[in-house]
Amino acid sequence: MDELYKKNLRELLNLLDKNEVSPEEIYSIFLNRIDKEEKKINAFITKEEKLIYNKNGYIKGIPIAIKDNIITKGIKTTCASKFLENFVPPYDATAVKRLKNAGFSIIGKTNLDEFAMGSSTENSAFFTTKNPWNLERVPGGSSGGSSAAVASLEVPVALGSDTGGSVRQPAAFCGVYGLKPTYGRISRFGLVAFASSLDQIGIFARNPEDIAIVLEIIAGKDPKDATSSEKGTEKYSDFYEINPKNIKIAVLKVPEKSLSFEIKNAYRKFISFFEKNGFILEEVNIDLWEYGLYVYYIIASSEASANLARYDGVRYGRRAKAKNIGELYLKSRSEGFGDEVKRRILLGTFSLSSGFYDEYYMKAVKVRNKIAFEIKSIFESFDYLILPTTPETAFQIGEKSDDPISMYYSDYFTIPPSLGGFPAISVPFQIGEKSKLPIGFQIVSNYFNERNLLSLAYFYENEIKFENKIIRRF
Amino acid sequence: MKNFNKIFELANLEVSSNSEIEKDFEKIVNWVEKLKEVNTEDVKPPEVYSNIMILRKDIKNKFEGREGILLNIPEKKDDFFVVPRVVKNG
Repeated sequence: MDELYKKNLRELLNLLDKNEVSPEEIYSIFLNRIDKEEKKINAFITKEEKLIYNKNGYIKGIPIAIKDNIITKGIKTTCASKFLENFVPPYDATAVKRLKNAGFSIIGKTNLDEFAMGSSTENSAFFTTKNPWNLERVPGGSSGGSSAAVASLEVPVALGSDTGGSVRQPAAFCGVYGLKPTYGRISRFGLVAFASSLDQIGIFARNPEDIAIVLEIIAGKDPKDATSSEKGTEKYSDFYEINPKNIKIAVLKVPEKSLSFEIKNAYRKFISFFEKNGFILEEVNIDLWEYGLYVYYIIASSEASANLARYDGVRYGRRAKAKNIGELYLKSRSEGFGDEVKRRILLGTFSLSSGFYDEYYMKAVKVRNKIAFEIKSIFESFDYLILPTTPETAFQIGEKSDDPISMYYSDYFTIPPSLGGFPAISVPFQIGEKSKLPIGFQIVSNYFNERNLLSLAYFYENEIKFENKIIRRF
Repeated sequence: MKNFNKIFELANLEVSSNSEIEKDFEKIVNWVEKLKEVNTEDVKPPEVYSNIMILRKDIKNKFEGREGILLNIPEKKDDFFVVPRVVKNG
């Protein structure tokens, strides 16, 4: 019973159904596990000591961790920013509300790069989360707290958010599954806005089935988010049978120099996994892929500069001492935001400013659309697209923190699917022989094909059995 | 050349707060200029964005979090936000 924290969501549900364990026992075992692991991992900003859950929900109090940029009524939500250090939301995000209705309990709020801007959690105003596989390495980001918590068995499942790769990249670095659904599949109401045309709530777990269970709870139209899709949801955990000889997979042709030696070799093996299983594979090229990064940094920063204009020190959050109202805005913002947030606000303000708007922002919007069409055209002849999640395995803490542009390259493979709004999942593949760190790859599919995506991931996990590797390691 | 001070002013951020940021900003702006290589005549928006922004009916809803909002105000008097004076005397 003491090792219940090794169980995944499906297994815990089965034990609860058979009355072999109580919700209280489960919660206290996970609290103990968190206490023990947090001494080295630092995944959580806030921990909830008390079990609170809806007794009518079928999840029966199983704990979930929530990234600290998704608001939770009555539980501090900081966005890992000094600006919101003491902010207590007066309502729940729609995704959180749906989780609670289904019976999940919120066990804590996880660390991130400030306002989700970063790839390592080093931009958190509070502390850096450690990669459970190697404590000198980053867990990835921005949802690094959630990915590390799931990998180190502190929780079975967690929510994150993905704007340009913030769920998939940390999932790959920590050896877990991370889904970014189609733009509009999950309501963004209550997800603190960074780049509204790209932001999407995502899910971490140690297997695809657990992700599917959470997705079917939180997906679907929400009147409070006009960009949430009216397209009906599906029973995502009811997986399609995978018949490889009828499935066509596009394999992204990747310039050799863009991958580390270890990932280059692993990519070949990942591809041959699908070959050996009888799938139909063909290499494809996406000409504009490399421009995704520039497009992303202009568009995401532009939207961030507008979204973060609300932090003025008047209604909530940090307020600086000031003699007049102008100084109040200026000082509250200058003292409250970290460097990366400032860099992005500045780039965005510049891209949207008079005289530069057409040359930067509009240009980026047009190239974004071209990239989206290029990816879309692949799904006219293929069911899935496979590609690396990251150019390298988890890097050292401090290795890139002085060079923002080299940090941006961490999202090289995750950004284009985000620009087009496509659903994508990062799946763990193997542990690097030399680095001893996890390596993950992406599977992308057409709009709203989450059920197909998770079905293939389920087939894959049944063969690869990566969840066992995590359980044995931690 | 770009007027960096003007951008800081528009963003409501202090210029002097960190000179590293200014250097990075210039580097990043030069970096994204690579986009100019792409030909972008005749581009349409992708379909995932074509069915969004459907407005909901304009019905009044009761918001239960009023107290919670008041609790987050950094400086208040009764139920009002306090800010430094914004109108001139007399």
